[in-house]
Amino acid sequence: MTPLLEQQTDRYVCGASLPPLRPVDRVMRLSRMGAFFPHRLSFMRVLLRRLAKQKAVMQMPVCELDENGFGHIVLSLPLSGRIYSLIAYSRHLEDSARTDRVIATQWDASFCLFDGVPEPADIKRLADEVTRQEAGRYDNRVLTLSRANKSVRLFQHIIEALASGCQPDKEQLVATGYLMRTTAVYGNGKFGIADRDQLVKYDGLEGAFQAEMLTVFLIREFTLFLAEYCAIQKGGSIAVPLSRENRRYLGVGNSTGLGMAPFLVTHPCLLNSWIMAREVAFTRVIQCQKARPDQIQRAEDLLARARLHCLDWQVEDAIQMQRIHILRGELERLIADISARPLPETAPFADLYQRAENASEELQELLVSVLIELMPEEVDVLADCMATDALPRLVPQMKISELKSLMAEHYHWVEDIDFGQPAADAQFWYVSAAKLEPRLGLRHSEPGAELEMPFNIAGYIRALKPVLEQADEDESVASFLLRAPQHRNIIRRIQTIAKFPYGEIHDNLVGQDCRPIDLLRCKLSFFGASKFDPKSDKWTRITLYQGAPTANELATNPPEISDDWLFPLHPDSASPQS
Amino acid sequence: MQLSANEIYQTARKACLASGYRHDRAEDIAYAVSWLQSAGFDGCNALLDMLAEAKKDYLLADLRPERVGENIILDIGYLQPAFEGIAAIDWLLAGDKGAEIKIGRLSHPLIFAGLLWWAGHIYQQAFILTSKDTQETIHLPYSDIGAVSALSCLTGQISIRPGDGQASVFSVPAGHSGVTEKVWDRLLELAAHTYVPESEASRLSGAGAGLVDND
Repeated sequence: MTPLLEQQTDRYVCGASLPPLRPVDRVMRLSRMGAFFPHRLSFMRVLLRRLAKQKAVMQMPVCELDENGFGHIVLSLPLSGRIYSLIAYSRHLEDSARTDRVIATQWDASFCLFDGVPEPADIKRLADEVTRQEAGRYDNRVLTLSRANKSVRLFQHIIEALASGCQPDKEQLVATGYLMRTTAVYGNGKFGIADRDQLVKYDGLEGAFQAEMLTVFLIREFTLFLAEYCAIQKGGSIAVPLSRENRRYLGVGNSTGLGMAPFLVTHPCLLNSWIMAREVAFTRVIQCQKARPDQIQRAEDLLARARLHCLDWQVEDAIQMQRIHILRGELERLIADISARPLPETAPFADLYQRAENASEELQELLVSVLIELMPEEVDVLADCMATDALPRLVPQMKISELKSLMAEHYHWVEDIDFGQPAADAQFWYVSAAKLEPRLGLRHSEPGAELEMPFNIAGYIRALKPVLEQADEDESVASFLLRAPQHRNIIRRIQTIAKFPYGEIHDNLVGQDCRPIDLLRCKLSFFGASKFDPKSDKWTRITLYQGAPTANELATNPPEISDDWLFPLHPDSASPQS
Repeated sequence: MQLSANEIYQTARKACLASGYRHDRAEDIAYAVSWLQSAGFDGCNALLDMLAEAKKDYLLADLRPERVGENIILDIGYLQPAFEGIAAIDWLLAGDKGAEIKIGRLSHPLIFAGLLWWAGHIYQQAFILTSKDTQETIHLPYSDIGAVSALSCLTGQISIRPGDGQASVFSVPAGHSGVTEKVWDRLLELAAHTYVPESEASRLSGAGAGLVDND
């Protein structure tokens, strides 16, 4: 039996020594990464915990919409003493122009997150830029840029229902779960907006993707307001607002394609910090020797909620739906097993996880999300360690002998690839000239492979190995590179991964069997996305902030209630959710 | 026009790739250029000058350190920042006792200065430069950016060795900087060579292709 945990090194994380963790080889496989669920260290959860703790109150200093809901509004929210504003521009869009692809040029709504409260001149100036998104130019008072399209049928249904004094139909709410879908959220200096290096100096935005998550949270508020506004325009005094429960159930949709995937490969230090925090959190929980009764009860409640959530989770993708079917059955059996054989007093959470040892990766990773919920006092502090400014760097003084040893330790998975088969490098990642959309091509039948992104990690390792075999073991890497500079990139990566082991995906990213959708789900789980809904192996729809408190609840709900939205359920479902 | 540090980094990186530099070198040069811009130097223009001379099939000069007394000397007749420059900096950072590089002729000194500063910043390692062109020793990185200006005026007969102890690094926050439209357009033009031209086939195989989003 593979040991559950293994000692990585004597490294430290967040100031504490690193406990034995799940082996990198077990965690960093595409199939497992493609089974991750959102969790309490997800960036949306981290942001809302902070906002709720600060009892942030949102304001709408500007609202200039016409009777059709077209125009602009500004939503301002304080975070850690600084005010950020979403400027939202709502426009008419012909159905023929509505596409979620990055190559779109028009949208139902366009947004930017603004540093402070914008003056009328700012709003006017930015209107011509933000509505053109990538074609506009911005300055560093603009922190993020985004756009969204309506989920037309649900949007219309909700307006009709509210305008006639009714709440929307549950089935339709559950089937979609959001009023608008964002199709991109840009940050870090794109098109002239503020650099990430600027944002890390702002309290509240220093964590990973916090500016982007704040943007999406405010977009959700905009969509809720817009629907209610349009309903009032239509229904007048008969119109009613969305119920608290329905407001909370509606999230923001998102369409995500390949653009998100390369990030994980090009940011190994950051990926390591995300995965490491999650693994450390998981380990701290399963190492708990004695749990309180309320923690045991919470585990059982969350499993019951997860079961209902999975019953609501319907997708068209045959592969994912099959996984969901299996997961539903496994959850039923696990809950029944716990009922028949309660968790033991000693090490109950390790016991819970081990009961899924032979289950699907979907169930195992769902349990990671459940377990992480149980000990906030041990887990939440790890959120501070999920951003890093570390970059891949060469260790030029390292001896070749040590480099070879590191390569053997961290890249032994490469040995499993049959490089004699065309399937081993069947695909290549590239950037298309069409709006710089990242794409995946077929190497042996499509042009452009000479411009591929450097993701053939396994191939580079394979090329380096025989060259290292010929090198003097006592020679330094720097000296070796004077003769073999073409291997500098992969050597730097090996040395970086030795320090950041969860930064490398242990699968062939250019192989025929590589499914980019697994990369997407991993990254999206760290954002906090739910209702993963693959539309192919290259793109997916998801829901953000579904079940999360809305802005007007942040200041009024107790923080622990605001933070309880894992596995969101429609309020009509029998649920232990708060 | 004003550009963010990340825009400069990404575009400089792609321009380097399009000019035949490998990914690691393209990244190092791009970091150096982005830093130079944030520090108030005309890094983008210097990069364009350097890329204008780039040869895609360029091979690194045959570099062999030689022991001379207690020192190990890496003698570089002609140093191009993206090739011998990066190799030499790596070699100096390896920290061999008595390591020193001697540069007969230096091309694009501002870019090389940016590389040295960036390396010094990342590795917290000081470098000491001497040259026949100047009476004073140059320390990089140092408590101000004047050393970069000083190095960027040198063209040859330079000696560099690691400094003692940790570098005293003057922090230059990454931020927006000005670049002329002519220079920026040329860099974008070069960067565009890293993009694969769209074809009908690639458009149809792109993520989300062929789907109706009016739902």
